[in-house]
Amino acid sequence: MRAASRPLLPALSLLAGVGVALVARVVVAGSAGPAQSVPAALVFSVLLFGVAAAKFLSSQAPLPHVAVEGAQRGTGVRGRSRVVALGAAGGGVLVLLVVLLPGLPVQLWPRPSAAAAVPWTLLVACIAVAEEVVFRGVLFDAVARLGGAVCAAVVCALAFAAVHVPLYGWRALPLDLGVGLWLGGLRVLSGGVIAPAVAHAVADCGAWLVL
Amino acid sequence: MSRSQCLGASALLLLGLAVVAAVRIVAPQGAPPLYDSFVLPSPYIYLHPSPGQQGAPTSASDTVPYTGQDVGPLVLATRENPPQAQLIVAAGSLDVPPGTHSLTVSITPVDPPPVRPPNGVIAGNAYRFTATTDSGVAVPLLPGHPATLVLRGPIGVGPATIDLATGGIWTPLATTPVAGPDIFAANTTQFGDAAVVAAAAAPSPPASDGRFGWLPWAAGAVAIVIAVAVLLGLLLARRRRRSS
Repeated sequence: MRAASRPLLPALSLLAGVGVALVARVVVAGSAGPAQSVPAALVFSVLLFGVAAAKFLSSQAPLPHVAVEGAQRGTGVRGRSRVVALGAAGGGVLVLLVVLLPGLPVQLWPRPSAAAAVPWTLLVACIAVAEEVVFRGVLFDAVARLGGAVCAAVVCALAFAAVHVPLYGWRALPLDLGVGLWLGGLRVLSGGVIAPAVAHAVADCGAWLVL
Repeated sequence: MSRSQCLGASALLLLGLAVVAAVRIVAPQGAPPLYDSFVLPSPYIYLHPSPGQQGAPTSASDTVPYTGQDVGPLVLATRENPPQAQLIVAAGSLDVPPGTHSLTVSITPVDPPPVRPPNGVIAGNAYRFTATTDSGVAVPLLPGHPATLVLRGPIGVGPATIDLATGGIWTPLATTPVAGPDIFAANTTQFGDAAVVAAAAAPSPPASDGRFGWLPWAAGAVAIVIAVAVLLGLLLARRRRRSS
């Protein structure tokens, strides 16, 4: 009853959790900047996992609606393989865009060295999955219960883009909004969080490796 | 999956793709489409390092043959990661004198002119941007064809401008902070010495040596352990719910 009388509460509490994680990232990073600190990135991803876990464990919803159970259309080994393949293809499209539309002929971000490729890839994938578990996972479900899947995808894409502003500035907002919509589309299409998580990880890692 | 859900997913995918493509075409930033991680720039390399700072910044130079036709765009960058100085000269921007057989564009870290910039203090190195013919004659930019200077300041430099020194006098250029950390870009109508100028002295660099040593390995291991623990916890919770 209490939850029914406060339908916005789950979504708002999740957004608050994301906000806390973001503030923690900025604080931990200090003068290094939130996008340039390994400990800050680690704290951020751990807190996001914590937000998702807390929401999952406290959820009163029937199991099929819990996002991290996800992939309703991907149960079983074959089904999950299909969902993973969908995610990999989704990430591949984003990487392909970088190749086809390379942008400015200047290097504006540091690239990981070959020697650091393995730990870098592991950490980037971990952060990507943490973000997806929240944005296309528990937050998506909380908003979808209020306004449907497409509405949830749009709201989560907006939140996803907003979260990246302190890291990369306002210029990153439209780009991350577009990517958020794409990942939201994968979420709706696949019915779970696995496909967008795979796509996000592939895009983050792949785009860097091809640059 | 219902028809409306399928349509919704398709619309989201198309819209997302269109937005990403449009952004990369209209406002390219030289960055990947997704950028949700950490980046570790190499420490700033000083021409005259103080104790604890690294020295020996790199130069960049490129020589292209000139046959009377336009040489096309010239893009040059020093070798730091990310580069500390970059130059973009669009096609048809250089006023090449007759009799030229080759053109050399270069970026060299230099001692700045002794006069202080009017708008702050130099953060990092000054770089000399030049374009010369094979006979050593300076090649100016054509009117209305500015070149773009991209300069990186020391880590944590904060708001800053790029100043250009010509004839020993510093002039602030209209500067835009660009996608990367502590990186600024400005258009210039002439070559010369350029530097990042901050309102105040840059803070001390963070303790990280920027070489991606043991820290990411340890952090990666911790992240994976936590992720696995969370996933196991969720699976256990799922089983308990199912059994209840």
